Amino acid sequence: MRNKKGFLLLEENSINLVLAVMGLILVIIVIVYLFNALTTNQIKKNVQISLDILENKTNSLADGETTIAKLPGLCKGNDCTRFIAGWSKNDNGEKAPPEQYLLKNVVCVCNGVINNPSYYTYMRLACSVANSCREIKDVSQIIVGPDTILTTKGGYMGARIDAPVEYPVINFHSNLLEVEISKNNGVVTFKKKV
Amino acid sequence: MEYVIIAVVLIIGFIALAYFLIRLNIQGLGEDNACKLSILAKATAPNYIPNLGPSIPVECTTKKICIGGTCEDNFQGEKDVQTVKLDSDKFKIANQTAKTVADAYYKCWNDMGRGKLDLFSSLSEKNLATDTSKARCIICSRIALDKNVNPDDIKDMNIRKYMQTNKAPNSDFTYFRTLGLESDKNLVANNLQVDNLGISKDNPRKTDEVAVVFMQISAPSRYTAGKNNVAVVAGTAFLGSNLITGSGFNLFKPIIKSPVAGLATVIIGEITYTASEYSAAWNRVDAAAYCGDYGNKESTGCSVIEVMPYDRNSINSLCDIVEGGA
Repeated sequence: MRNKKGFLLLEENSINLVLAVMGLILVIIVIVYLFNALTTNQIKKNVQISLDILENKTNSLADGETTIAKLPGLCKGNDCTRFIAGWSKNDNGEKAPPEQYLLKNVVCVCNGVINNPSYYTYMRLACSVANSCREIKDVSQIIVGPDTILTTKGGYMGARIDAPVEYPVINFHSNLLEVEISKNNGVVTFKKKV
Repeated sequence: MEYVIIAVVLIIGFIALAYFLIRLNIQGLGEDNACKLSILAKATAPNYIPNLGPSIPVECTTKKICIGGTCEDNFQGEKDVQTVKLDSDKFKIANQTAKTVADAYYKCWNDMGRGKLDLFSSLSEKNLATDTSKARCIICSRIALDKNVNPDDIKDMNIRKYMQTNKAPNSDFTYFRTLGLESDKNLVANNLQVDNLGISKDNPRKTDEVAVVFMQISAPSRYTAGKNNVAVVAGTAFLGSNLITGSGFNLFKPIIKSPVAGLATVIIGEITYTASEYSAAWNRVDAAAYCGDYGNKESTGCSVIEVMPYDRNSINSLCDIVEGGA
């Protein structure tokens, strides 16, 4: 298309093409951002936010100080199985942490049912999921809880008998949770504020 | 040749626009739009598809706003904290602070469907004939005052007056008029709150952080449950037309009890007894009675935006379930 008319037609089309491509790129950018925002799992995001808050508040705590961490609800409908757990670098044997956190002081936000006698095994399993824990440096021990979880204690005439039992965790709620963090002689304690 | 110039200009324009959008925080815009979209989708999900409404998550993230500094005590370890820089002119500080709270309130109202959307009720959640109502909340924003702000600078702040006399964003009307707070219904609601809840004005709780909270509760009366059944049969989406909109503007009455507490005290002033009233209503586990405090004893639910201290006692006395991102 070397004649004048044809050349002009090509240029007009080219500009339309440039316009269309740029419009398309803008639309794609907006769609990608909207898609990302809509598909991010809100609870998983809140778990990481909770861990950020716990880690930063603890690390900035001087010895002898106490602070409060306000954490969001982490339940999905009636599914309320998320909890805070923690391990110290000296924990071993039955109380050993998930493998990747051996010899570390960690605080974790995990998801799982632990209300049975082998709860340490279940805690370990629940917290072995990637990005469940954060390391707390320059402390000697981590203590979490206790908090109560309804546990089956037996049965009578076909009916289950449940009773609240204490576990070394802090359960999340469907609404705001306040955790008191204190540091004394290198021992960090996470306790539910009631 | 002229087409080449036009093309170059277009490309430069595109780059400038893209740069502007990025600078404008398109991610934030995306989050805002995602929030509005999820609210709209949740509210308009057809009820004849079981559990569709409840399965749509609320994709709204709590905005964290710090006035006059970094608010490290409040937002330590948290990301995306917006900072409101205060003017050096101390006479403007009270106004800036009032504007921050008013804007957060307005944004919450706007994002949550302007009190017209029934977000959390669906046939499955209402369980047809059984009342399983729970107060569900979305914390739209958290506003903290930096410890370096001098409380004396905001002691004359009057958010209520600010909202009565200043225009809302992108509106020709005041916040009050835009929010419909000049209507008779809401004035009644306000009066009811002020007159009936006067347990104690002398013991305000103190905090340095408040939350703008959207709450909605919806429970079918027997009549409504029947209506829901009809809706199922007819295959029609039922929207809670009886929802009323309340407000917590009496909370803004400026009562400064302590020079240290600053903004929080101003806003908390009357929240203390509001929370008590919530507790009383809670014991009844009755959405109609609960929402009656906002002016309509016959309502089957209500949506309310409150400004309250961001602590467990206050938030949890209003909200059974907090949805959305922290």
